Amino acid sequence: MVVDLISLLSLLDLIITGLMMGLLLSLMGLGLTHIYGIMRIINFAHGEFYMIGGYALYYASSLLGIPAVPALLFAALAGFFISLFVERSLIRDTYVKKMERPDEYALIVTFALSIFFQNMARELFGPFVRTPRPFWPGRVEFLGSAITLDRIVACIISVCAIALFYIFIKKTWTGRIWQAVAQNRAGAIALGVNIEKTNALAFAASGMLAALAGALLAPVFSVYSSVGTVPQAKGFVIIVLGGMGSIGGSLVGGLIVGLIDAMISVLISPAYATTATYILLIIFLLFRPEGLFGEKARRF
Amino acid sequence: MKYNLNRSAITKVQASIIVTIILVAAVIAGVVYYEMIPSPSTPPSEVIKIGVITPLSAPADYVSGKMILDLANLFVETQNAKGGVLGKKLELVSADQTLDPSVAISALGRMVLQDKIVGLIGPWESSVALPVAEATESFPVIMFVTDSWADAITANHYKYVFRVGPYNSFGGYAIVDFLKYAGYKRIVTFVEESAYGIGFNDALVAGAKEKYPELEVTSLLIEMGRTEFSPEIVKIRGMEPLPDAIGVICNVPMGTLIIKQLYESGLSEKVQIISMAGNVFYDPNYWESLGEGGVGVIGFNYASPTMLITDKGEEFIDLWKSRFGFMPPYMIMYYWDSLNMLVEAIEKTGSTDPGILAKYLENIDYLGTTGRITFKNDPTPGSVFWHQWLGIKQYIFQYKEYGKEPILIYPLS
Repeated sequence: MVVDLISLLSLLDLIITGLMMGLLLSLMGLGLTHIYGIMRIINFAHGEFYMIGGYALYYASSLLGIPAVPALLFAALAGFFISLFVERSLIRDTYVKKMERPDEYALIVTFALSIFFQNMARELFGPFVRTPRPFWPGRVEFLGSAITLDRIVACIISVCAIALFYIFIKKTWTGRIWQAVAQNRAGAIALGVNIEKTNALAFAASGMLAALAGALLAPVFSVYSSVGTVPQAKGFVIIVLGGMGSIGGSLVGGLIVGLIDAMISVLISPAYATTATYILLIIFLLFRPEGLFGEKARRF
Repeated sequence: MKYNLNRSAITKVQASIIVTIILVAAVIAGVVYYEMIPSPSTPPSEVIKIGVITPLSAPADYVSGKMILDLANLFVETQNAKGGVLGKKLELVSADQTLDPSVAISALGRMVLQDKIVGLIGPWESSVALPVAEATESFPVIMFVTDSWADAITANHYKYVFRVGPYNSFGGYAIVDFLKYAGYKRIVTFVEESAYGIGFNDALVAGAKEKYPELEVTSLLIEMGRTEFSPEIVKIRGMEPLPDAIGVICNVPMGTLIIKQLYESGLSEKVQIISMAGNVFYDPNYWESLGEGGVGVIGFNYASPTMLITDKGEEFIDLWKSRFGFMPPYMIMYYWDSLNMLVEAIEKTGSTDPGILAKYLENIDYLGTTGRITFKNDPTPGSVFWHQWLGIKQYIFQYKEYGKEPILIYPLS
């Protein structure tokens, strides 16, 4: 039936488009799920680290003339250190001080932080859309469709970043500590884990992933103060679909969201793409609240 | 913490104090209000005052606001040199509208009740102009707007508000003439889900039905905030045959991103791209955002080097240039016309009553700086053609070369 509606080539084009969109979104989902997995907080300012990454890349590459790879590293490090500062100054209180409702506190703090960062960006960088120079100008023609090299580069780097992050968690001591804290926080503390250091690094790593995503996509989607809002909203859907706390889940969730968005946009209307995504989210919350990878997979 | 349910929120003494404060405040407000209302024994004023409520500070568009204030001062000076109005001196009262409608409405109230203005250049941004237009029902005064595009400013049929300039849906209706001239038969429109986007597209579809029935319009409604348009591009690429043109009825940043992605997909090499949002087409970062993808894009404006300028217009342009050293933007010329119409209405009716002036203006036929100005007054509820000038013209421009200004392509004479 789908093939009746659009040609086979268009369908293939659509699937490629959806998968690429999904891969790019996965990186956002990964950062969100990582914070939730370790710290059990929902970070509403995650999209703003995406925006910071975009601006960092713009100023590093377009204004200072720094080449693409160092500029990407600069953006990722900017995300790392700014989120480290945020964690030390605002989030730390949720687990160091004795407070009645630390989760709600974190929710409100990150929400306020999101508004603050957006307004600050508007004041600092102006209201105009900024577009960094492309990493790799040009495009490739594939089965009648054209894909920019920047998008391909962004997808490859996204996959590599997710894979590296997975390896880091599985193979390094820091990663193993993160797994331990995610599985049993009290047990990990009893065994001598420095929870302050662990949380700080987890939050900073998550901010770094968001900033990297923002920097990778800046030449494709440009940068402005509210650029992180939609990717963040989709990031939340991704982690619910994939299973909160699951790295594989964020990848699969991202691909599902990307495909649904592309399919609904073409077969029904772009106006219903987000609605369809949220309907799927509601279905999951009703019938499989633990997401695709369930309880077992969401522990690192 | 547990709530103590046995304790009342406030004591009786506290409640009595609050009620007393409210009563005293109400009495003071009432006395002040009645003091402001003109009494029959008030001696006739020796001056006639007009008001300007315009943006004079950031983040509102204070650059335009400063020009509007300069224009109003120039008008008062020129009119007084001619002997004023009804033998009285003309005086200007001004206020910063800010972006907060309540500030602008307070200024309106003060101007009407204290300064007793007879006419007003209304706020600039539609988000402020519309609430102030609504407030003229409570603070009656003739108000003119020029470049405040919201349809509702005239569609709400306010008694004293007149627009000498474009309105949002006019752009969609008028651009059909160009589409017909260019011979486009099939057009796809990207429509942002906003009052602007939907209103503009509806006007385009209505205009096509009326003026160019052969035009087939396929509209893609786009939710606000979207950044990825690959699926929509896949859909267009799958069309057989491809559309002749793609209209982008989306503001910055969506409009810019759509044009960029259309270029990157290779579609803009085969299909003409038309930007239908001024803040995309005239974005100061246009070339940075779009690069080579900006070449060939078509957009529109309501002024052109080829537009008709009457003798009055030439005279005003010379006056403005001698004072400020640059060509006045079209909206400045329309404000000049508005104030001249107000003066004509006062002199011809011998009255400053807003109801009498509004009746006169509804039927005015005034030769302004760019041609005749008359107002259409369609009483159909919701019709935008109420106190609306229809003489505005649309000019189509195209970016022909990278980094250069756009060139007029329609109408050429």
